[in-house]
Amino acid sequence: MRHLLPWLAGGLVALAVPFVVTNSYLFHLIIIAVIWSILATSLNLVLGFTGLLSLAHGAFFGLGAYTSALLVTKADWNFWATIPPAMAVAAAFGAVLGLLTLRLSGHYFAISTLSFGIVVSLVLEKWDDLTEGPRGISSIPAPSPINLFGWGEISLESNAAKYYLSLLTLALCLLFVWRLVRSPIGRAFEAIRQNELLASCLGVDLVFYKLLAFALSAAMAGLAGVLYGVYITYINPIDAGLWNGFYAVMYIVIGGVGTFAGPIVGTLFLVTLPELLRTFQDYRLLLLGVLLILTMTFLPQGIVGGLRTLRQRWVAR
Amino acid sequence: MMAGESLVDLRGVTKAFGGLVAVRNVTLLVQPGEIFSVIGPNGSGKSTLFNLISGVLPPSSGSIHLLGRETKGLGPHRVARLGVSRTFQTTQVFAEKTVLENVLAGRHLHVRTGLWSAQLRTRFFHAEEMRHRDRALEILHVVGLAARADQRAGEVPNALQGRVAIGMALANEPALLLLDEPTGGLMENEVLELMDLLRRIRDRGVTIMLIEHKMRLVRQVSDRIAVLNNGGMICEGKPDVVLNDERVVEAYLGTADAAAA
Repeated sequence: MRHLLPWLAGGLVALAVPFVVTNSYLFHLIIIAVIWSILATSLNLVLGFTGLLSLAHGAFFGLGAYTSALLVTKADWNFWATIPPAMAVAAAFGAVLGLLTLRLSGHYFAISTLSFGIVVSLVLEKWDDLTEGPRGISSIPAPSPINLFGWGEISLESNAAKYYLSLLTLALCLLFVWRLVRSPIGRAFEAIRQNELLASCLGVDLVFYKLLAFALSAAMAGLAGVLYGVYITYINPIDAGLWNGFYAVMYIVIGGVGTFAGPIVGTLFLVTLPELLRTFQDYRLLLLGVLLILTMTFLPQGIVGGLRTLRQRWVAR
Repeated sequence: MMAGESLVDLRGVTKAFGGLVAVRNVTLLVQPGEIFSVIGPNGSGKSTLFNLISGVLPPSSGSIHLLGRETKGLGPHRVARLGVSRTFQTTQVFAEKTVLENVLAGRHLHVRTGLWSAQLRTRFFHAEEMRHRDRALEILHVVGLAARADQRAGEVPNALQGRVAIGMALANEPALLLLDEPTGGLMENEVLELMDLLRRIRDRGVTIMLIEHKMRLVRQVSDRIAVLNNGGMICEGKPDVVLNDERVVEAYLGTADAAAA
């Protein structure tokens, strides 16, 4: 149970954040980091645990955000009822993209997912009647209050409430990924990541398991998008574009590919760091690039992998 | 499978890569319970033959029946489902995983746990995980790796990694086991241990096809031997007959002295 201690500590700190962080801008960054941690965790399922480099996760994120926002603003759906269709739409696009591209390997696969991401944001931009085009969807209302049946209700108007909602979602997603990876299904994912030929000779249906990982991961990315929409209250086609997907890859690589904490650590680090170094704002991307190269060279397992090595050395002494 | 039917039934199997014919019109039958060796010089098509049988490559022509089923169009995972396991010439293991986890990965086709029982951690999930763990440990005892269960496969000495691969293959409870040069990199005494292991595996009812260069092993464990040369089968039969056949000596063994070695 000792390996749960850092999680427990992290969880307690996370619960205390709205009471401790008084700077509203910093609080905003933390909320964004939690939402992007969900996106990064979803990508980690395919990149870290199944070995597929997807650059389409920005698109799944955007598809989830748009589905929910359109249903709420144009069809007057209750926010909570939009979550399943938002996840389903993202998963369906993930499955279709997977069917088309999963027979490709390595770079070819990555490039096809990249093009898919471009297509999705272009369609969102040009399909004016449905999506309001480049103007995007604004004034997305806060989630409807949760009725406690006579015990009052929980309002989700405040940032603190949205923060806790995102945090709870992140925790559930982590639990989902953890239980999936630590199961026979996860062993099949892992086998595919390490050695596809060997995996298939052991009876692992490569296409089926890659599709499964991809669809589940896309659904989770869509869920992150839903939360993003209700927090920011405004989305546009850029949110479904390439950059969110690229950033998610970067967060994972720097935090630690294929570790459970890596996507969260990497996201927190990279979302808050550039803001703390405000003076370097113009050089933000340059700094990120350098950081990425340094990490891949010296910390192939990212920050979390590096910490793990340190601890092992400490224990060994 | 019908009684008396061959476990492996290849008819006129040919594999060409462009103009290069790697396997030429091979017809062979392997009976249940046999240890059947395939020998021949490097590049004679032995590994390609295994790739055809295990579904890694489709044949250019000819038919392959395994356990009475035509395997045309079946990928490796579907062939594995018929009860066929294999190892590779360059030993393939999941290096980052422990020896036990490697064997557990080999249990894949026997797993019934689905997404929801894994998510809800049902009683069924725990019972099944326990059962597979026990079975994997049994298999580690068979291949002599029980003491290394928790070591990473990549950190196990090379000579023993082959046994991890065999353990993984056995975990599928195969009817047919294809072993591609299992003695690669083994010392003399380790070869003897392996010979013993192969017999024990056969005695558990597993039919074995073996690609091998170590003639003493081949002579002692094989029920029958097929010899490939330039992709074609030049001879097939009992060890004493095949290893003394003139064509075999000429094509592969070189001199009569080498055959006796």
